Amino acid sequence: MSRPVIEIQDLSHVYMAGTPQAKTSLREVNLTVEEGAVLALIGPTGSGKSTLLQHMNGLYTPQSGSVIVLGRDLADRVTDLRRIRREVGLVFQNPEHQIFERYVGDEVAFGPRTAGLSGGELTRRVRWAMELAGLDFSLFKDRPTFALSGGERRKVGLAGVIALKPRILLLDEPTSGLDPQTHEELLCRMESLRGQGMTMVMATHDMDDVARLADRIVVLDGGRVVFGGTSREVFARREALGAHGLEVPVTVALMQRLRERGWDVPRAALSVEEAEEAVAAALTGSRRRPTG
Amino acid sequence: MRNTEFLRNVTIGQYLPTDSPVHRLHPTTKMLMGGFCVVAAIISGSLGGFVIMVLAVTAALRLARIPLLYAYRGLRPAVPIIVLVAALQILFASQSDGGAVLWSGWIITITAGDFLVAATMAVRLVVLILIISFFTFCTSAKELTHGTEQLLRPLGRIGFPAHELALVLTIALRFLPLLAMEAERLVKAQVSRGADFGKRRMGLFKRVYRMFPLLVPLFLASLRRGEHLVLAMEARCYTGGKGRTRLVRFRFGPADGAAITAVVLLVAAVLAAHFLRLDSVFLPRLEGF
Repeated sequence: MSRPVIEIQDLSHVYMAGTPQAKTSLREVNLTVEEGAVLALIGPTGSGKSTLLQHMNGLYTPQSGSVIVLGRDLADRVTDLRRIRREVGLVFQNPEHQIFERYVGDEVAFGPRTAGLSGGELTRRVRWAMELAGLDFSLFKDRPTFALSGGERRKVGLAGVIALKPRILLLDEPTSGLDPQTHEELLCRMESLRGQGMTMVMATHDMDDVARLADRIVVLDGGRVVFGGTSREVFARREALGAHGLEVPVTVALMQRLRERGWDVPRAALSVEEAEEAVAAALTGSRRRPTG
Repeated sequence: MRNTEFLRNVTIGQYLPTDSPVHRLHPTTKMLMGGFCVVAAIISGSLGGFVIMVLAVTAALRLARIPLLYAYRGLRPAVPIIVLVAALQILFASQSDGGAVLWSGWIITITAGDFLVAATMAVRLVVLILIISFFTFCTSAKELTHGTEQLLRPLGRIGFPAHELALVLTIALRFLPLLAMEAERLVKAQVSRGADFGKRRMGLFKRVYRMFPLLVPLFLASLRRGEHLVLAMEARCYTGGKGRTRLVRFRFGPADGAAITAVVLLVAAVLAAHFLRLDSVFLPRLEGF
């Protein structure tokens, strides 16, 4: 459970190096992702989240520092990056914009087909990936891709990456711009992927998603890792997060408001159920301090 | 596919706001300068003239505070074409007054003059690319529209759609870097889901087929962007150029006069080098003369 699958050391990256628009997007980043863990990268826009994700599947090779994924050094010339990219799937932001096939089934089959799968094996793989992404196989496989809703297209994008059967799934803002229902559905899908032991790294702005899914959080700002820890530790530091323009999930904010008013509740509650229990415990124990 | 950063090598069409004296010139001045130089480079066939132009553009780049290495990097994608053109020129196009024959056989005759003409062609392409990139480095899209419109305004009286043409030009130029960015993103996204854009050894048909995952979404993205642009323009009550006033007005200043004079002198020098055939000094013993 605790074998590191991604190890990043002193990674720095300059975008458009050697041009007047050169911009340092990562500065001496260190982090480790353990097998089966869900890591959330949070930080303001332009903090380097996407660039960091793209280093984890070899879209960028390290300019300085080292990235070791599944025991293989990405800076090493002999490392087969295509194999790394198959084992580490990256779902880009707005994956619905990369759809090019006419039918959903073909779209999802693109990855595994290129990898050499065919016939029954391919069909089984596509069915598996579509069901995992929340698309009913028999209902959707022959739907034209242009006739899908925004949320369905997003799921097709997700299924297209899952179909590669990656060992690690990287997600760049997986839930941005979705309606509440699709958002919820997609989160459930990701929870079930986590339940199956999938290692995930996601970059997101949605703190409620982070609270529900992530085991650990890394906060980025200006390309630097500012701090990190378990979700509970990070969300307990509301002030520090605020200094980087980040908020805490609603449930955490509630706990901290209550504490300010003198209620004896924990610093962070990561789910509505947890918050409910904490409030109930505080009320029944009537452990209110006499501050008022 | 190890390097997915496309944009690093696409320097033509990039605007680099360094706020130099060159950037502050009137847009019409900049367009006239660019236009004169391009025309001179096309008319002239003089190696010496082109060398002067390369030096002049280099000096202008310094004046505009644009890193020289960055400007020259724009030449990199054109290198294969330049080499090919030069090679064809040397091998097949024979100069009648080509000077000493160096080698002859089959349908190929190589003369000293061939090398001169090939070098001239190559430097001419370099000059053209440099001029155009220099122009885009220090002219923003807004200035370009303004300049085009002003230059074409006289034609507007006879019903020529000057404003519309200027707009089309601006949008086309502005969309180029966006398209490159989009393509970069798409290549990354498709590679992340197992795409393979092929190796050089593959057949043409197969390679084109493999580009589908890039081309289809890129096309769709362009259409979508175009539609958004239309909506955005209509939402701002855009109705065309008629009766439109400007927030920023440009004025001609002494710098514009100086710049135009410099360019006219440069063009005169280049054309003189061409028509006076000053290049003949490069040829060792011309037989025709």
